[in-house]
Amino acid sequence: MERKRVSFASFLPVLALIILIAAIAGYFYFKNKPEDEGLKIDETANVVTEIKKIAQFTSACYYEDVILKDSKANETLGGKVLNTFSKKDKPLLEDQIVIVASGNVRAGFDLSKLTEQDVQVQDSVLTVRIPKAEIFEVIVNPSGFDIYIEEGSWSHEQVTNVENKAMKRLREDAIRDGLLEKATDLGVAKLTDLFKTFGFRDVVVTVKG
Amino acid sequence: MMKKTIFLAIVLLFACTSCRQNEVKILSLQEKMNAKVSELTEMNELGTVEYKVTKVVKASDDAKWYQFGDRKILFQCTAYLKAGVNLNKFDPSKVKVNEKEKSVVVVLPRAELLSFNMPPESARMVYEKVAITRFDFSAQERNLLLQQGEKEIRDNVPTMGILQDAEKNAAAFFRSLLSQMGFESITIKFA
Repeated sequence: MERKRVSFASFLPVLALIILIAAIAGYFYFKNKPEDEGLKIDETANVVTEIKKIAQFTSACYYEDVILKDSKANETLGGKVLNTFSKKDKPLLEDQIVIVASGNVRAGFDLSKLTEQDVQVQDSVLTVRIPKAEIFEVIVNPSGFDIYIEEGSWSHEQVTNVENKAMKRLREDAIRDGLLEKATDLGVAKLTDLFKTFGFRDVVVTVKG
Repeated sequence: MMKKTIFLAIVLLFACTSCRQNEVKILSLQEKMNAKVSELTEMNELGTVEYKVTKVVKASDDAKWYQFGDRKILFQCTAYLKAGVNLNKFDPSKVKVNEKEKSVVVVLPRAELLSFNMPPESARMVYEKVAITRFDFSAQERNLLLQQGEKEIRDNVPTMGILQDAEKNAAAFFRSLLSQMGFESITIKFA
């Protein structure tokens, strides 16, 4: 029986193919994996640059998880070349980002706006006129952002824009869900209870028109 | 023929494993998007001081044995901290009023940090250097670094003096208010 001799050269295409597959797999693996999950910041000072005296009575808070999705044309050289063949509104090669923002919106009364005329006492009846309820702040801290899906390259400014959109939606949702009305109702009730403890027979808290 | 089959199998396997992760993510994302998670709750807090705190967040990611080149990044961050008294902890039974003498003693709860706000636009990336052999910092990595910066500021709150300032301002606020209400002798305590 004649044995067929196999030369090393005949294995070369298979070997090249295996190396190619390993290289592609490695590229996608490392591309999607954060380079170093244990990345640590250096110790630096926290500098207090401003101290402000406030008198904000917070009476209601709105919490929400906002999910925001954004996409853009791929900005790599290959992406730019490929996207020249695409239609204007839909690039062929797209980068996508999905961010989950867990934040809160705090609302209440700015009691630093109270004037002497706003507080009146007559026959043990206290009358206080408080300013309109307002939104003090919309808070989503870095710990409140979760980069859920990140495809392609997103600069810090581009991500900040998406995060700002999430903050804007949080504010709009809070207003739509009646945060200011709830802050007004709760605030008036809470302040009335608080002022009653100071011994007045009757307390009337009204909101300025 | 055999070679072709093996090749196709490898390609299919590779394609399936790389797509699977995103598919699962997109499905659960759709579920999340359908169910809006929100809540409106009542609060009873008097914020009396706001601190503006700036911090440089910097990190160096030196090359490991399997990498070539370093990565460095630097942010300038600003956080706004508000402190004051949580009036849910206020005990009305501890208020002592003497109408004849026009005096009042009010015991307020100890001041605490009421809100911490580090807005996205206040985290400015001022420097980034990445070797061409390394991938850029991803959005996720940048956010993880900012989270560490946030934690460092929070951990520093007890030594900042913000709580002492909050109590001082809370006492001044109640003194002014009670004075407008007609009280002549006002004592504010914290417990």
